[in-house]
Amino acid sequence: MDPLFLQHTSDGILTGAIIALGAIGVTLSMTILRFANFGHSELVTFGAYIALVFVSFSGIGAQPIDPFSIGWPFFAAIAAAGVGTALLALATDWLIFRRLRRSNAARLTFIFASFGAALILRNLIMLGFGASPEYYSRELTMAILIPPGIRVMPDQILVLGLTLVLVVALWAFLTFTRAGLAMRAVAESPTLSSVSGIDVNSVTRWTWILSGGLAAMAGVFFGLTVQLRPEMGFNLLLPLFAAAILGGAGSVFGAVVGGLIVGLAENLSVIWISPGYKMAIPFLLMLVLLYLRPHGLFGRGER
Amino acid sequence: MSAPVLTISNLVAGYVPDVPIVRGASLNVIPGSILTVLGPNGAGKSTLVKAIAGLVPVTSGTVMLDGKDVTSTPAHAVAGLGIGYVPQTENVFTTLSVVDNLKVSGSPSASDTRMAIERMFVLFPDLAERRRHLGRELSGGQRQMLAFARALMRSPRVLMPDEPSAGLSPKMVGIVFEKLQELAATGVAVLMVEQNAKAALRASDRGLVLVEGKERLEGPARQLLDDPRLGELYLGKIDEAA
Ligand SMILES: Nc1ncnc2c1ncn2[C@@H]1O[C@H](COP(=O)(O)OP(=O)(O)OP(=O)(O)O)[C@@H](O)[C@H]1O
Ligand SMILES: [Mg+2]
Repeated sequence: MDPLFLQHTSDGILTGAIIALGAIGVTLSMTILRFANFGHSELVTFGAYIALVFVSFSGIGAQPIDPFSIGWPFFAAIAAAGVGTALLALATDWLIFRRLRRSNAARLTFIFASFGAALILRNLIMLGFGASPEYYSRELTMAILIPPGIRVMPDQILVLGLTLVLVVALWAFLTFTRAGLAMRAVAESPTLSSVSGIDVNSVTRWTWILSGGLAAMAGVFFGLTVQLRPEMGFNLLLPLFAAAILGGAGSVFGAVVGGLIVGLAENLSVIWISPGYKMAIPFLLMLVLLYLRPHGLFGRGER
Repeated sequence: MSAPVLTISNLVAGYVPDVPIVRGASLNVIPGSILTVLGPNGAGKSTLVKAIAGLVPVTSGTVMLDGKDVTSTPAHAVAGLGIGYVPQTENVFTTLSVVDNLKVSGSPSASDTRMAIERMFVLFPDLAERRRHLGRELSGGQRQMLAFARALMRSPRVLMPDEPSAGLSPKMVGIVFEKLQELAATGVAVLMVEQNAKAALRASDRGLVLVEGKERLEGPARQLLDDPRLGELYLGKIDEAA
């Protein structure tokens, strides 16, 4: 097979995995919190920068682990980013969305509020870190050559592996734990959930924690394999929503598949069309699929 | 006759402020007995049980469970305190399996929940056979049984089904009412809302007719069955009956 095609496929899978992590949070908030959270992209950015702060404080003396560009403190930075971003997500809920829920605000109000929150968060990052790109590590690493000619960076393989672990862990959480089951119940019906003894407020908090944590992972992984920029999350916004909608709102599995499709399509498109149009690919995919399957690949539209 | 387990006094409740739907309703439910709430469409029957369940804001009046004031308690806490509400529609999780429907409705203790699930499978053998089926894959009758089982997971003192016979075949209606009598025989108090007045009263101990959010007629079920005022209240001849 054409090595160029294979290279773009491999890059597409990596992009897709990162998009998938973000899209899971989008799909969870769409079905459990019941609004399209446009602030989700900024959780991605915040996660990436929290890890940067952590790395720059602890980075000195941290030997990279061969063949990766990063050392052990980086794993602590990942954890810090996850926890910090989950707390940020909870804080935005507490400050903004909880109040809107209390006053029974319209769905559109939630969406606009999330736009506002996104704007504030993005500018805070801009203020704190400036507009120029940042990197976790300036270490040079050797690409691994996979015949017939695909180049993969060791960091990319690490990111793929960690993504796989996170997705499996999330699946197990939703399938086997009581909290996960309660999240699926609230996604279907908050009213029936509450009369079944489920505290919907606590499920709401869990949802923010999970989607914030996963957004942070997406941000850190993007920062590690590409770079950090204040608008990195914003640029991922469309792909994240395209992936979540492609997969079918509410389906975690769908979000993962949707993420991979969007990532692959974006990367493979450059073989045939100018990279300038790459950004439009998720849109195009979303339009075509919604025409064919209005509820997404794995969504069910009878609620 | 034993003391009531659920006492509603002068309850006023509604969906929006200043529009009371339940307007000063009072009733008692006794352990091991079935009280059926009848009444014309829009009388506020569903709103009454929803208000007891904590789903509709209460403006005044009280809901006492076992002598404890539970008025305006959040719905999830009401479920934990021992009131099992079965909504008329959307009363099972269609996207969860039968077992998960029960598991998610159980108490926080995993071992209690496991035991409760086993009890439900004894009580409803049909569900045991379909434990891996999704809620949406069940027939109407099975669905109603799952809705009961869901509400019974916390061993409630009071079960409140809203129109449990709606949409079921006549044979299934009989089975559902028999099940409720069987449950009442174990000591559960049943507060049921029904449209199917004759069949429901035959299965009940007492009946109550709610009109415009207030009880207008209350008494032993057998007596109500023969009471001409029952039909009149349904036809809206409220003033003459008053
Ligand atoms: N969610 C709601 N929001 C606002 N008003 C409501 C709501 N649900 C019901 N109502 C109003 O409350 C009144 C009583 O409704 P309710 O459902 O309690 O009657 P019901 O006695 O159960 O009638 P039915 O026999 O048709 O089930 C009706 O006028 C109805 O329009
Ligand atoms: Mg009703």
